[in-house]
Parts: sequence; structure tokens; C-alpha cells
Amino acid sequence: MTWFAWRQFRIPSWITAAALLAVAVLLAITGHNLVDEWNASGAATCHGDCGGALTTFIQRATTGAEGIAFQLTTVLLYAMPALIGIFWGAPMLARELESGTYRLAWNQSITRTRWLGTKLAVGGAASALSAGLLSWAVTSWGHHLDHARYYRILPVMFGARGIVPIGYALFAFALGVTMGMLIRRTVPAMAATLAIYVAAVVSMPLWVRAHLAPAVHGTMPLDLSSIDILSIGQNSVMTVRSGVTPSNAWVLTNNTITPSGKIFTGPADPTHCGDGGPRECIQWLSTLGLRERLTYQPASHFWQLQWMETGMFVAAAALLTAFCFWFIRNRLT
Amino acid sequence: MIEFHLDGRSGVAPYMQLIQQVRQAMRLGLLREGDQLPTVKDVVARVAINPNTVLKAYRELEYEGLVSPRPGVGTFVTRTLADDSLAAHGPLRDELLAWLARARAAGLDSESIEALFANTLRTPVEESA
Amino acid sequence: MSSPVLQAEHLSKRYGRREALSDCTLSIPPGHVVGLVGPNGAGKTTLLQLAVGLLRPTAGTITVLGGRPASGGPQLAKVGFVAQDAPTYAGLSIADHLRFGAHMNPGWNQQLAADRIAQLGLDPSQKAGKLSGGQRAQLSLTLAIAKTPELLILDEPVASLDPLARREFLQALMGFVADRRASVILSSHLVSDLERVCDYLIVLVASRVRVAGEVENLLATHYRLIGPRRDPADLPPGIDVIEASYTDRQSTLIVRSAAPIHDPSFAVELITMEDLVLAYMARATTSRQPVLETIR
Repeated sequence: MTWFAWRQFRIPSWITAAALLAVAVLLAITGHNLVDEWNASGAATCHGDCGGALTTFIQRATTGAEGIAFQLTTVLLYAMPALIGIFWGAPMLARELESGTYRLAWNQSITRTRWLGTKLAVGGAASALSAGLLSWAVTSWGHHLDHARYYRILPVMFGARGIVPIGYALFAFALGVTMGMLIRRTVPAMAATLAIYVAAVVSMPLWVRAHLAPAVHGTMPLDLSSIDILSIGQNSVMTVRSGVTPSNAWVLTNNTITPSGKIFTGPADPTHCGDGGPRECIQWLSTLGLRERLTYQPASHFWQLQWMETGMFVAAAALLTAFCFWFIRNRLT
Repeated sequence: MIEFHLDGRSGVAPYMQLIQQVRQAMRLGLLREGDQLPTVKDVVARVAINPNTVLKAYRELEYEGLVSPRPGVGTFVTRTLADDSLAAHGPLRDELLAWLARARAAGLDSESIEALFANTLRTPVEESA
Repeated sequence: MSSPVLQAEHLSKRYGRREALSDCTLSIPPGHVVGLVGPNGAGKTTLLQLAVGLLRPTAGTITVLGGRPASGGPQLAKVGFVAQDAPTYAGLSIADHLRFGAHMNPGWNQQLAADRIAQLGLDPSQKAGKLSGGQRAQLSLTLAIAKTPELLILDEPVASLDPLARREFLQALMGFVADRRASVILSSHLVSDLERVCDYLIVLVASRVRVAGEVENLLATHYRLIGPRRDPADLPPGIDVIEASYTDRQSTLIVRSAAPIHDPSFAVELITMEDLVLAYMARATTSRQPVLETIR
């Protein structure tokens, strides 16, 4: 059965191997350049405030081939689990059910559960391995870039680094297999898998991830050297938010509070915040003793969040797998 | 080696048809004493009938003393029917020709003659049953 | 007394509100080629799929070769199945199908399989999707036979084959039966497909078994009676009327009787398998009508 599971999996695995090889070549070539630029910018040897060196590095490293490689690999890491779910997971059972070949497969001298188990093991192992390899390669390759600007803790990059792609891949695969088994038609199963996978991955940073590790609460004096929001609405209601936040952290909430601890809503002083430029208004605001109250996930929480999120998705994959075994034994008749 | 065929429309049971074909082959001299009949497997692979049908036919032929099985080898003809060739019945044939001439003279057509013959042929069988 | 190859007691399969198979009780003896005949939608595929474990009963029990269908590797190895339209993996070559069989079945006879493929004149490297209907049917039969089962089940194996392919398929099947002394159950909606090869008959109409028995026995106990028009209740006891048709003067009855019939007012004829099946099919449809009238 193992032979047959691989035989049916032949074309997808060749395609994936070829794609991974192409990516590896790209990373090898551009990785070289990145290391050179890292050293040349002086960021490698600098200690303390390295802002200038890092900026130089970023400027050089995001142009040309390296820039393309960076965007491509990020997109690829998000796309790969979805592709695994759609092209490996969904057809696995759906195609056999749709074409009727299950009537041939389930008459051989192995039970349905063993048949399913072998296919899941082969596909699951391949999913975890490919996602893992790709993520490991890109995470190491992009190490300096992430450190300089594209902070890994931020939602945009979080799902494309570390071990989370492995969790996504296993989940997407199990989801695809389940959808294929329930829907019994390949194309609708692919569509359902894609829809649910996207919903799951998008809802993580929106609602769940922030709670996976205890957020840090901090208060600091309001620094208006960089402003995120400065607006005056009806009845002189003001909204002020500073853009100065701890570097390399995922800011969850950022509120400007009065000395008494309440959120600052104005009212705007018309003499200072009238029709003149914002500078006088800012000047006036800085006299009010306002502070910034933040909740954020610092960079140090990166690996904790990664493990928690990966764990959740692997658990979800395990639940789906258990459901598949139950369903194929008892209900798929 | 002889070959069998099956007439699905003849109304005669398949095993009976096989028996008749063996007897006919023996009469025509196609099967002689010591010849082997096709194996059950060979017959069904050509004629696509149930092997039990062939077995039944061969058993019946064995019961009639026409063939005899040799375990592990096959089924072999033990007698010939060639003695029953038409030539041995010359006198009967002549009598039949004369009778036919009389029947036609009496006004019977071919179908009436056949019906009369078939009816008369059956009568002794029923009486002896 | 050998144990039956298939034993069903009050077997039923229901899909939602539709009963595909109702209250079937069968006991099929071993060593026969069993014909399962009935119109489309009668429940033949349902019964066969229950026998191989692709479906689970909603009521009643079914035992095949003494075990519950698909209850484990050994049980699955004993039963070979060729599903309707002979499913094969279109993208896999014939040789890969044989390898598939070899890996999945401990009782696989690779020599037998390879010999059959060669005998059929098939190219092992050809993809199954490129084969003709008859060739695919032969491939499926090879896969089922080469795992050396005790019972072979085929669902309408020749329905979509041309006459030559049909003949060749049945020749191959009968060759296997002669070789292995295995039991075979095959279904069809045409009696002509089954007449030559079956020695046990099951008639399935509208989800119920109407008659089941050895062909020789059935044909010896069913008669056609032709005579003057008469009330069938007038007939002597022990005669069961299956189908009756009347003109103003004549009755034509298909009856079942354990004892020979000696009624001088009737001409008594034996009937063919086709007549027998048609008579039971007619009985099945007419027996439904009284129910409809009650509702009206």
C-alpha cells in the first residue's frame, strides 16, 4: 500500500521537488549577495545604535534579485499550505470517490482504515517536510532582513517564518482530505478547502494570536516626533496616536491617555488647533502631560507564539484526521 | 479433437446438445475409440457455458458407456457408433422410401407426413414410460 | 452439508426514504455460478455492494463465506469484485495495476495475472484509460481473479460490451470457474447474458427477492398451461400461479408446481429461463397495484 500511495502521489511530489529546488537555487544565489551587502553596510560590525547601517543595508537588499526573492518567498510560504490543501489534500479521496475507483481500492486485501492511514501518512509527511524545508531555508536566508526591518513578530511576516508554515501545511492537508471525503467532488472540495484555509489563517492574527502569549502592558510619555493619527472631529473631539512604538514589536493597542488614566478625547483648543498648521497643535498637546499606553507582543515572544499557533493548527489537523477515520469506517457507505 | 457449439434457440437443454454432438461426431467417424474429449476447461473457454453443464454431459455419456474418464488425464472414448452408420440400415431406408411414396399418393403434404411421423414416434415412448 | 457462500437474513438497505433493498433472505450454496437478474433499479448493485462491504445494511444481516463483509484483510482477500463499468485507474498502466494488486493482496498470483494479460494480447505498458471497454473489463477480471478469491462477484460485467467482447469475457470467466472451482455471483438486467452460464438464479424486482433456486430445479417445476378460460382458483392445490393472461376463450398461465401436472384440459409446456424471469417480474409489478388502488 505504501508503494501505491507514493505511486499515486508521484506527479505532485515531482512538481514540488522541482519547485523547491528552483527556490533553493534562487536563495543560494541571492543569499550570497545578502551576506555581502550585510557586511558592506557595516551592520555586521556595528554595536549600539545601528540605524544608519541598517538603513543602508535595507536600501541595497530590497532592490533587484534580492527584493524579488524576498517577496516571492514570502508569498510562497503563505501559498504553499493552501496549494498543499488544494492539490494534495482535496483530490486524495475526492478523486477516488468521484471516479468510482474506490470500488476497486476497497476490495483489495486491506481495510479502508489502513488504506486511508497510509495515504494520510505519506501525504502528511510530505506536507510537513516540504513546508518545513522551505520555511527553514527562507527563515535562515532572510535572517538579516527580518532583523533590519521586516520584523517577524508582525502579522505580515509571522505566518511565513519559523515553524508555523508546518502547522498550516498539516492543517491544510487534513482539511483538504476531509473536504474531499465529505463533498466527494474534486473541484468543489478544492474550493471549500481554499475558503476555509484562508478564513482560518486570516482570523489568527485578527482574533486569536494576540492571546496566545500574555501581552506586555507599558506606559510611556507621549512622543509626538512621529504621529500616527491626529484628527479633530465634531464637537472638537480629538484623536491622537503617536507613531513611536517599541521597535520590533507587534502593537496590539495604542491609546493616548490623560494624566488621570482616561483616554484623551480633547476637546481641541481652538486657539492652538485652529486653521494654522499642525505644529502649534502638537506643541500644545505636548504640554498636556499625555502618555501613551501600549499593549504589545515584543520580539522575545516570537517563538512562544510560533509554538502555540503551530500547536493549535497541528491539533486541528489531528482532529480532522480522527474525524476522517471515524467517518470512513462508519458513515461513508 | 472435436469442438462444441451451442444453439441457444433450439429448446434443447445445453448438456443434451453436448451429448448429441458427441454422438454425432462418433457416428460421423470424427471421434474414434481412444480419442480424448476436450477438457472441461477447454470447452467452457470456447463455448462460455457453465462447467457443470459439461460435467453433466460427460457423466451421462459415461453412464451410457460411450466414454470413460482417466483421472488426471482426461475423458476418453471407449466405443464407437460407426457401426450404426446409415449404410447398415439400407433395407430400412428402402422401406421408408416406399412408404413415403404411398403417403404422397394418398394426398399428404410434407408437414402432414412429419406430424404423423412425430406423433407415431412419440406414442411407443409414452406407452413404455 | 457445505456452508453457503452468501447468507442474508431480512437484509435491508434504506437511503433516506427510499428502500433500495427490502427484507432479503437468501442462502446461496457454494460451487455455483449464480445469476442475479432484475430490471434497472431493482437493487442488484445494492445487494452486491453489501456482499463486498462497500455498503452497510440498515437492517438484517449478511454473511459471506462465513464472515462479515470487509471485516478485515483475510475476509477481503476471499472475495473478488468487479464493480459496474469495471473501474480502473486511468493514469496507471496495466503493469502498474498488476503491481498494485501484488502489493495489496497477500494471495496474489503474479504469474497467473501476467499470463492472462499476455493471452489477451494486451501491452502491459499501456495506460488503462486508453483501453477499450472490453479490454478494461478483462483487466478488472484479471485483477479480481489473480488475488485467488473463493468467491467472485461481478456487477453487470457485460452490460456495456459489444457481443464479441461479451463472449470473450464470459469465456474467460468460465475458464476461471473450471480451473478454481470458485463460486461466482454475477448480475445483469438481461437474462440472455446469464442463461448460458448460470446454474443458480435469483430474481430481484423492486428491492425484493422474488424467486431463488437452482436453475435445473426451477425449470423443472415451472410450467406454462394453455387451456380454456377458467378461474385459477379452480386449479388443484399445490399449483401456484405466477402470471396469468386471458382472452375471451383462453387462459395462459405460468405456474409453479412441485409435482408434475396431469390435468388433461391443459396443454402443459416447459418454459425457458427468460419466460420464468419475465413471469416473476410481471407478478412483482402487478402485486404493487392493489396498494395503489387502496390509496386512491
